[in-house]
Amino acid sequence: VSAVAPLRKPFGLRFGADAAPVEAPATTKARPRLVIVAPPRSTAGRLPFLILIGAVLVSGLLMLLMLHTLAAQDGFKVNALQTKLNTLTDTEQGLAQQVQQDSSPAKLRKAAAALGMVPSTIPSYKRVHGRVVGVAQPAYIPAPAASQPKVNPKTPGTTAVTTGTTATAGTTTAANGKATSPSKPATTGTTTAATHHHKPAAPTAGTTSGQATSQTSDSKTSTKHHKPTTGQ
Amino acid sequence: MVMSVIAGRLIQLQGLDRSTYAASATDQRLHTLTLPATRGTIVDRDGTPLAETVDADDIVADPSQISDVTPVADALAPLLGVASTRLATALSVKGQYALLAHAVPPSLADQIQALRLPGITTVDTSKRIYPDGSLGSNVLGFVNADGVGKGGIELAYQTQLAGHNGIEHFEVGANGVPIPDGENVDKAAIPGSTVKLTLQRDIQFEAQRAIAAQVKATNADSGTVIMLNPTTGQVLAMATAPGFNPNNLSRANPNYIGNPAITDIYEPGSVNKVITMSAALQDKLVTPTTPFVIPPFLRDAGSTFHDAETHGTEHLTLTGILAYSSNIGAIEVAKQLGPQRMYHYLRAYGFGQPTGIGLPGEQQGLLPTLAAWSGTTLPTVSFGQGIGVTAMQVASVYAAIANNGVRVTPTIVEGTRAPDGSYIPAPPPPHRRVISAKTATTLRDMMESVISEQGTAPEAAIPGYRIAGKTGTADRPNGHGGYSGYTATFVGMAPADKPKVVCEVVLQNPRRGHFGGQVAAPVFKTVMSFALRTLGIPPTFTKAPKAKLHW
Repeated sequence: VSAVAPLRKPFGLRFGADAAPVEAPATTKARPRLVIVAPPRSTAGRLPFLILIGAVLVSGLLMLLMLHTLAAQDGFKVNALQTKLNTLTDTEQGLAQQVQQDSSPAKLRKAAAALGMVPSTIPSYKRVHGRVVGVAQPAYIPAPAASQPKVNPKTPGTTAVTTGTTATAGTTTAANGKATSPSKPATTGTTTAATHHHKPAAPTAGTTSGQATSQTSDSKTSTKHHKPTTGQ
Repeated sequence: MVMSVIAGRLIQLQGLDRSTYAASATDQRLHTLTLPATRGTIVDRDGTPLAETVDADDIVADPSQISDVTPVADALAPLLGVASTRLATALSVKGQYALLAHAVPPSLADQIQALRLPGITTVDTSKRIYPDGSLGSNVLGFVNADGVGKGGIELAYQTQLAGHNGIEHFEVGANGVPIPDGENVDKAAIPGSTVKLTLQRDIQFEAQRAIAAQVKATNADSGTVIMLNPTTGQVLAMATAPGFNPNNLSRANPNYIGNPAITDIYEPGSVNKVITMSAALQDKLVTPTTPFVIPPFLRDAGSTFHDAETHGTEHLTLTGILAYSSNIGAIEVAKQLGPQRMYHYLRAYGFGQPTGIGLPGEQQGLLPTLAAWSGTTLPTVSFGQGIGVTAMQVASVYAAIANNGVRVTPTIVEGTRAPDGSYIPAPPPPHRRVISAKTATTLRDMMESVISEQGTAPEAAIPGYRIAGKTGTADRPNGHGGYSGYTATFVGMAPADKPKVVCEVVLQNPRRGHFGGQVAAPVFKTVMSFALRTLGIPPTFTKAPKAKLHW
């Protein structure tokens, strides 16, 4: 850049100290004649370039179109899947609700009662060294107002008697355990079951508690009393 | 001149107000959707849902599109379970909107859509459901029509349960279809946290069932059962009757949608005698065998005090006073104690202040300040009249005795689970010592005699287990300065020598039987046996000490 600079001095500098020697030869030399120069012959045709541009343009448009189509297609897919997801979620929720309702303590209690089962009280416990502590209590329906177990009307013939003869104490224990505490199956024999108006089968081995009786209720709001001398 | 005005306007539009106009142009295309956050679930201690939000659909009609309402109403009536004539009326309104059914199950909405009825559409919504109906409803509370918690845990944990609504912006073309590459800003909804309670569903059910049955059987006004773990302060069951079904709030009796276990104030009666006794034992004024002479009646501060049943002069030990629940005996103990000490222990056990369980609407009860005590206050308070408490406060007193003298603030929320799965346990409840472990043990030994054949509550006995407890049969204030009816209570714990569970049963105004040992103790037995079975608590295989009741 610095080599060219002196030849293209700014106009204003011509009035400087070295202006005269630069100007002097210009007046003495004659300017060359202007001649028309033939244009340089182009080496390539214009067509390929146009084709190239066109191709770029078309492919760009096509790609854009494709992208849009794909995006739209994905949109439809998303929509469809979303709908499916919603349906499935609804189904799942519906089924979960049904399971929940059917496993609710209230439902299970009713179902167990329909099978002729009654809630148990406290089982006896067997200690590891063999001694049995406590006496398994006869099952009873606790509160005075508690409903009597009803025979399920949907299964005619399933009377308390038939239930009693078919179900062993062991199975009723397990079933009752499920009925009263679904989260904790009757593992330790902490529940007992009884059938109504029927002598139960003997407890199966390993069920320390499976004692069942025909007693229906021992919960009486007692009138016989210990004699409290005072306020209670 | 004109050109420059036009140029100026151009600069103003394109330069200065550019963003405003661009924004309003975008607004025409931009749609904003609120993505509602799903409300958190409330679960019991085992993770069983007690309250949850599910998808549902509103059934909506555009009456202007329905020319003939009868066939439409007839088609919908069996599905919606509404009379056809009522639907026809709803469909005949003027305008373009009529809500036919709110929050029906999606399966039903699908059936309705399949009918392709003119002018009938479904709108996505959600529904709060309580799978077990009235189970624990007094604790859970309820939500209003907008799904905002208005009672119980639903209210207390509204912020955590609600979550944060999300927002979706998207541009739509002239035909209303979203523009694929358009501006699309999504802020996903953050669902509410899951609130995990300390309640155990099965025990809660049994408690609720048993108390409801007894309220009915004794024709009582109401009843409450509270069961808690004395060591952790965790409430396992809090049942009240009558209650309500939060799934059907519109049909609930507004008087029964609260939680009486923490809001009902009543006079505790004889269950308060353990406070009098523990204070005297702790201050070494008496021992379980200290002899007392119990006259037939006692004049004190100008009043005459009787026991519930007339008797001659009796010679009872301290244990005897508790077992027979002698008012006169309690007064004699309290007189040794004095009002200051009595008041101190009442406060230390948590009377006159909320228990801190963190449920909305909790009452602090009525405990007059010491300055307000008259001459009759001390003798009256000694056997539990003249002060007002909540069932939760009383349960907390017995929990402290069960927990070897340390009162743990009762809690009912175990923790919350954030939507990202992280579990935040509730802070450990504060605790403080009220009486020494030795005093608590002595007291429990004495309370076992209440369950004996001589005591007031043999009906609370659970064979194989050692049970300690106390009955209460209090006069019930009638709200007009007098008394009518009774409050029957039994509070007990098992096993007595190593209590794992405390259970309180209160019946307000039972009309068929009114003694605590007679109406409340059987409920205690039922619920406590159930809890011992369910929690797998074995007996302690020890023998109750021989109690000396007379001298």
